[in-house]
Amino acid sequence: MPSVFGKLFTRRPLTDPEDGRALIRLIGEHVPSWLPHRYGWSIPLRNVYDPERFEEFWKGLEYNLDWRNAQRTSTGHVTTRVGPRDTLSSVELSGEQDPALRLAGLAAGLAGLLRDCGQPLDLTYAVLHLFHPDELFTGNHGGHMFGDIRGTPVLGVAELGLKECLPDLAWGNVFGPPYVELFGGAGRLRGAPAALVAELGPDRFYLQLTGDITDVRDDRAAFTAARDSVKEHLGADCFAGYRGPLRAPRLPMAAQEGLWSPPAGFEVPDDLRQMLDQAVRDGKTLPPPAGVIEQDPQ
Amino acid sequence: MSQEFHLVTRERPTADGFRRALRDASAGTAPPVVDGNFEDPNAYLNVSGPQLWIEVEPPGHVEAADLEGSYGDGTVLPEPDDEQCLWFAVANVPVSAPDGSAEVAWRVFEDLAARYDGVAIQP
Repeated sequence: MPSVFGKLFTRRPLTDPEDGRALIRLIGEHVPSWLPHRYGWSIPLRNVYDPERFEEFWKGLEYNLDWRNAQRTSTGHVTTRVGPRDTLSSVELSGEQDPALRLAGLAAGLAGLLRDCGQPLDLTYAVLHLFHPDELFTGNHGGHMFGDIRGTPVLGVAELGLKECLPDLAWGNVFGPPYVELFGGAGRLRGAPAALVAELGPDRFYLQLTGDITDVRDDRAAFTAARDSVKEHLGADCFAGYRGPLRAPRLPMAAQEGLWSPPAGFEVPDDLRQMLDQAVRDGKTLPPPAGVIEQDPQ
Repeated sequence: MSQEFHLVTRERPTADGFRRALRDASAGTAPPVVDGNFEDPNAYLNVSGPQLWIEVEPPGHVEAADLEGSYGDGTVLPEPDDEQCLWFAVANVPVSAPDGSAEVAWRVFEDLAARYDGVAIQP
C-alpha cells in the first residue's frame, strides 16, 4: 500500500519528450529504485520500459501514461493539460516505504527530486508527503490531503482544487512564481518559519516543514505546530479549511494559451471562443483539433 | 451496465485467429468490421456490425505476477511463458451495444482461450 506521495504541477503541457527525459533522469539520480520498469495506459501494464526507446514511452501521454518500478513498490502517472480549461499538467509519484531504504533516506531522495525538477520542469507547485489517516478528507478529520479508494490512500491534491486554494501544507513543498506572488513575494518565502527554506531559482522555493518526514506520522504535535506556523506566515486564507474567502493564483487556461483546439462539431462556448480568438491575435498557433487525424501529404 | 471480459493466454492470439473467431461467433449476420490494429498492444479496436458493438484492447504481454489475485480461486490461469509473462486482452461491451454483443464477445474469447492455451474470464 502506498504511503509516500509526491506530485509536481507545471503549466507546461509536458508533451515535449525533453521534459520527460529531464524527469526520468532526475528520478534516476535521486530515487533510482523508482525508475519505470513497466508502462501503459491500462492495468496490467503492457509495455516494458526501455530507455533506448524513450520517445515511445513518453508518447503514451497521448492516451494516459502510467508506470511502475521493477519491485512493484512505486507508481508514476502523468496528466497533461488536454482540456480547454486546464491550467496545470502534473506528475504523480507514489510508493511504499522500501524495506531496504529507510523512510528518511527515501524522503531525502524525493525532496531532492522535487527541488531539482523545479527549474527544468518550471514547477508551479509540488508536494511531498507521508500518508496519515488524520489527513483523510473522507474520514471526518478535517483533513484535505488524502482520499481513499477501497481502503487504499490516494493523494487528494488535484488541479481542479488548486483553482480554489491549496489543500494544506505538505511536509515538502515547491512554490513557483504564481504562489510566491500570492504569498506576498520572495521575501515572505525567505522568512518562512520552516525547517528548510531553499531558493531554487527566481521566485521559486522549496519549503520543508520539519527535518524528518517521519514527524508526519510519529510526532504529530511538532508537525502540526510547524505546519500551522508556516500557514499563518504565508496566509491562512490560501489554504482549505480557512473560514472566509479563499485565495489562489489565477492561472491561464489551456485555451487562453493556444494549447487547445475544439474537436470538429464541438459547440464552443462564448468564453472559450473569446480565449481562442485572443490566442490567435496574440500570434499563437493552435494545435490540430482533437479527434482529427492528420492526413499524409502523400 | 457495460460488460467486460478478459482473455489470458500463454500464446499470443493472431489477428487472423481473432477475425476467424469473430466470424464464427457472429455467424449468420453481416461480417463484422474491425477498426484498429490488433497487433498493437496499446491500440483500441472497434468491432462493429449491424447487431454488434465491442471495444477490444488487443493482447498485451503482461507480467503474470501482475495478474495474481485479480480473479477468484476458481479461475486457473495458464502457466507463464519463459519471460514469466502472459497475454492479456480485454473486451468491453458498452451499455448501449446491441443485444447479443456480449454473447459474441464471450464466445470469441472462449474460442481464443481454447486455441491459444488460455482462459476466458468474466471478472
